[in-house]
Amino acid sequence: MNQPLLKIEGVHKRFTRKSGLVMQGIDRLTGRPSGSTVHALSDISLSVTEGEVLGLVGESGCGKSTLGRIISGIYTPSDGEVFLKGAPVARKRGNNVEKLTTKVQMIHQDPFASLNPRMKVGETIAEGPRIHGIVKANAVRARVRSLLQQVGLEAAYADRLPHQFSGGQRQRIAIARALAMEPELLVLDEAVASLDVSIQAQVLNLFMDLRRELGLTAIFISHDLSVVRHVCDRVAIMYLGRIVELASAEELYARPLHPYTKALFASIPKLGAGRGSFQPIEGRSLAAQPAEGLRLSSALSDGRTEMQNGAAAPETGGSRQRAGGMPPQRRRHRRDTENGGSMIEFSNRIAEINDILCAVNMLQWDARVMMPAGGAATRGQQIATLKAMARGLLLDGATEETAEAVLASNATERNRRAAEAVLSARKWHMSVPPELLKRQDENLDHRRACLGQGAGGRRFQPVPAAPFRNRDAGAANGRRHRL
Amino acid sequence: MLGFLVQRLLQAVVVIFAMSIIVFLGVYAIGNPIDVMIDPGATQAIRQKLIEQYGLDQPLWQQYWTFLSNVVHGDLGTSMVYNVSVIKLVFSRLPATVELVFVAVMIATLIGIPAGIYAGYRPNSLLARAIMALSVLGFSVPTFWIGMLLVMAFAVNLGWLPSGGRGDVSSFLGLRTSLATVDGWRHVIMPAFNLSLFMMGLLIRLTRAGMVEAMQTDYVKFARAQGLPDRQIVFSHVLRNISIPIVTVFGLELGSTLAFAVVTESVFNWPGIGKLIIDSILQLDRPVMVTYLILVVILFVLINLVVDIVYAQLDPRVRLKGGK
Amino acid sequence: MTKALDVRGLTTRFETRSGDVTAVNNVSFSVERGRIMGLVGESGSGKSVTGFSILGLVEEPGHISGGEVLVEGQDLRALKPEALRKLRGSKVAMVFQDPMMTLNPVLRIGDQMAMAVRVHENMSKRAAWERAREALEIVGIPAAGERLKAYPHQLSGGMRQRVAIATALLHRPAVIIADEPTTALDVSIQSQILAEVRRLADETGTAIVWVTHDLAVISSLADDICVMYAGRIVERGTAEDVIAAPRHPYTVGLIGSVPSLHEPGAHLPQIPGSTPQLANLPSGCPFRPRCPRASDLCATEPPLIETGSHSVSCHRPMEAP
Repeated sequence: MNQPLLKIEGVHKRFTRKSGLVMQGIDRLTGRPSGSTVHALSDISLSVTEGEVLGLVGESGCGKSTLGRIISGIYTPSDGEVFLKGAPVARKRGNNVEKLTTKVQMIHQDPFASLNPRMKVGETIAEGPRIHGIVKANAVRARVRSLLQQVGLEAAYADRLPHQFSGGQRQRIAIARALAMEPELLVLDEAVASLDVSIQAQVLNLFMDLRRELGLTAIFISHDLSVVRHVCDRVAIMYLGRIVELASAEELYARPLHPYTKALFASIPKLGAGRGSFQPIEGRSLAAQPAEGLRLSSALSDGRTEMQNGAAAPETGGSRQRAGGMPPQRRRHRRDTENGGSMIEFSNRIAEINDILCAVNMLQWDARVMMPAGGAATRGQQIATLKAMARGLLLDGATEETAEAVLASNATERNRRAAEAVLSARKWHMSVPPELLKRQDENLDHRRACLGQGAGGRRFQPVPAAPFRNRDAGAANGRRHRL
Repeated sequence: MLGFLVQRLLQAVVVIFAMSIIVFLGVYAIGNPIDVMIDPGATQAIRQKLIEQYGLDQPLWQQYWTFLSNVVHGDLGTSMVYNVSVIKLVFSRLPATVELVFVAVMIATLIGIPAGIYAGYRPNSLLARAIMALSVLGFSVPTFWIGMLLVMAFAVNLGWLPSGGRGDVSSFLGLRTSLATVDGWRHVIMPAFNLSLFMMGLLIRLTRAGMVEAMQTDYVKFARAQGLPDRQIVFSHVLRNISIPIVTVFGLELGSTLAFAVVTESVFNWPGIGKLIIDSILQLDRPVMVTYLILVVILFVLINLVVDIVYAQLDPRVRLKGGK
Repeated sequence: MTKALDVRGLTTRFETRSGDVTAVNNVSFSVERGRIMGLVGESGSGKSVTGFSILGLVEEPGHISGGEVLVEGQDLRALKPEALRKLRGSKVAMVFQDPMMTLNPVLRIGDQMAMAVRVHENMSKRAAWERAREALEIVGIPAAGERLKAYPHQLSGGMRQRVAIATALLHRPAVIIADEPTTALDVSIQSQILAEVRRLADETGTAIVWVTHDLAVISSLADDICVMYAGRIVERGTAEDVIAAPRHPYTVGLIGSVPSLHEPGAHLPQIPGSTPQLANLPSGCPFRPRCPRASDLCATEPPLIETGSHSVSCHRPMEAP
């Protein structure tokens, strides 16, 4: 067995938004924590052996690009280490990241933005090796010519400017530029995502040819599962900043284990599978339900029973590397979700997390505006409800009581809905694998930051993730993450 | 919102304090006012007496301290030249300048923004090209030169308008302003137009750029696909989006128009604060200079605050964040 | 029965400095009520311009130079601009690719939708909001009343695209043109939207033209498929026929380039060359330089070969099964 070329150990990445100078001073005086933090990556560990292509797959906001940048040394991890052949790839110096190796090269998604429009492509390719003294000055031209030929372009193209090339050709140039540095490891971040299907096939073929010729090791980041399956040896599925499943491509595609992986597979439209093959919602079209009330909540509580009706499936063991330990309860759930129908439910639920967060976001916003004119519930109760809603997603023990209290009081409709959302969110939480939930808890801030965009996390003071209190589970889950 | 205001006001105090030090040092560096004020033939004793009277013999930090403690008591000092309270002096001149700037900003806005909208909506039309060409003149030709041309044309050759000065002042809604009289308007219109040119040119270009960009956006195409007429698209959809950068520049320009009305006031002999500050610089009238500069700083801080608040009203994505 | 949409010989040209470009070249197709037509093509194939041409929204320097666009039998091209504007949104609606960009960021969802309601129907603001709320419910948005008061940035991407679809549905149009509406979304959200769109077409009878580059999406959604290349429709047929038994060499190449149909790691059959520049197309069949089956014959205009509902524009098509 080869020694691992790349080794990532317990990498976390947090992005912190700083508050203004004056507020920082005040925060310091009052001893309050300053700024707000977004957890982009939590506890990532993996290794890549020489000659291997590892796929990183996930939906937007899952942290796959952040991980790619950490591997390339563009970001430094907040915790943990990244080693290339035993040496760290980057280190932090004050406010600057010092990249220690040129042996990791990155290829970006947009071939139109990643090439300097005023530099001849020959110069673009030669720049890196010349500065780092990889190629002798008199050999540079020959090297550029051979690189261009290697990526399937004519050597004479070296004197042209990027705008004279099509998207696919530019991506070839970007690959040539990366190869010019004689990298040990390539990181391709959605490198074929913006190309047309026919051009994408050309670039994928080029990549596979180069891999055979040069024995490349690569990290292939993509949202496209079929592309990843085609070019990768092993695949890591990422969700909300965590690797939820990591297995050989063959094994993963044949027998996905994690509910998220399954849900992801279930929602990909497949060519030739026939019309309506995606049809995800069975017996529960959202629109078919009565108009009033928070449909979201009823949909969620319905889903719960269905989740647990799943048939038990045999344990699929094997040499698979799984994220974290596997508490007993988790195993039960995994079996539950083996059932296809539930799987599809699950895919909807992922989308619904998003929706709940939006609802929380919005109710909070509205309520703030309407606070002084509040109905029967006192201002304090309204605030409590809203906080409870947020915490409902974070599984705080106090949540249910607060929500019930609001329901019991003569609450306005708005508050009742909020409370219902809390209750149903809680019920929902009881029915999914705790591992996954924990991940959501930790990343709620992150999701919210994505949703709020320019609005900033400050508007909704992040509720610190309470220790994981799943009463019936009682799973001795050692690892806890604090915000 | 409240947190934001408190935070910004704290910041403002820090900025004003820092500026007062810089202003104080700067004014000190210009020269000794006694040398200008005193008759060159005066004896050393008289000179010494004066220096002591104004406290100029004390070390700088002590002078600054005296100044600060006076400010806390609401006293910004006494003009060395006019021998009256600086506050009184400044506020006697301020209305004239505010009047002038107000009319100028109105002209710039009422002409600049509609012209910019048109130029951006039909960027290829002849009129749009003419507007753009003129807007370049607006902020590239020196103000004083255009001012003199205006005087030549309308006052000297045509004789339609007075060449300078402020017109009759009358009371309107309790304010003593020349804008309440016809004579006042006759006097103000030419200098105000002259003063407005720079801002007008800027607003035209900014509005046009915003329009051109906005008309290409998907939400405009989407609105068109819904069958909304262009008029409604421009006024309901686009205007609010492009007003965000316009507000910023408007705020900044409002500040500089006020602060730098000096040139126009000199050309048109307008009895505003600009003339006062020129005079006081020539005569090294320290208290007036310091007061004026600090006033300008406060003005900018206030305008920026207002701009930020307006911003948040215009763009729901912007939230004013305080400590909590 | 009249077709919901019947496009005949539609041609759109762009006059640029480097000469005239025909972005949409003699395009004909029709969509019946309740059916979804997939318009598939790569970048520069003219698929989006076709969508905009149907609504008469081609921007300078482009103009529609010929053809008819019949919506429920009425020719949109024969209408005066003002009359055409009144049909936009009420009879023909459009949904765009990027849900982040199609909604105005500074206006509430409800205000934007109400504006779209009131432009075609004379009603009070309150009634327009109510209509907007109903439309949101139709596309499966929970707590619709609350969502109307939100600004776009407060909604998730999938939710925003649903709002756009709801806006398009406000006046129960006969036809909706959807320009890559799920390309910018995550797959789990995409599958929801696709299911919702299919249901809407079935239930409301709206005909949908779904413009996309993604064969997998279209094969699972559409009833019929038109494949576009260099501004022309090169193949047209039911989704099953076109995907299972493609006849045009380009369609064959396109389907062949999809990785999921091949053994992992296998060399993908690729179409050589790159997408053509519309300004200098070869004579005859535009696919000729990249086509493995090309012969001298292909330098002349290719004939339209029809077998049943499946038609292909090629001199040397693949054999019909």
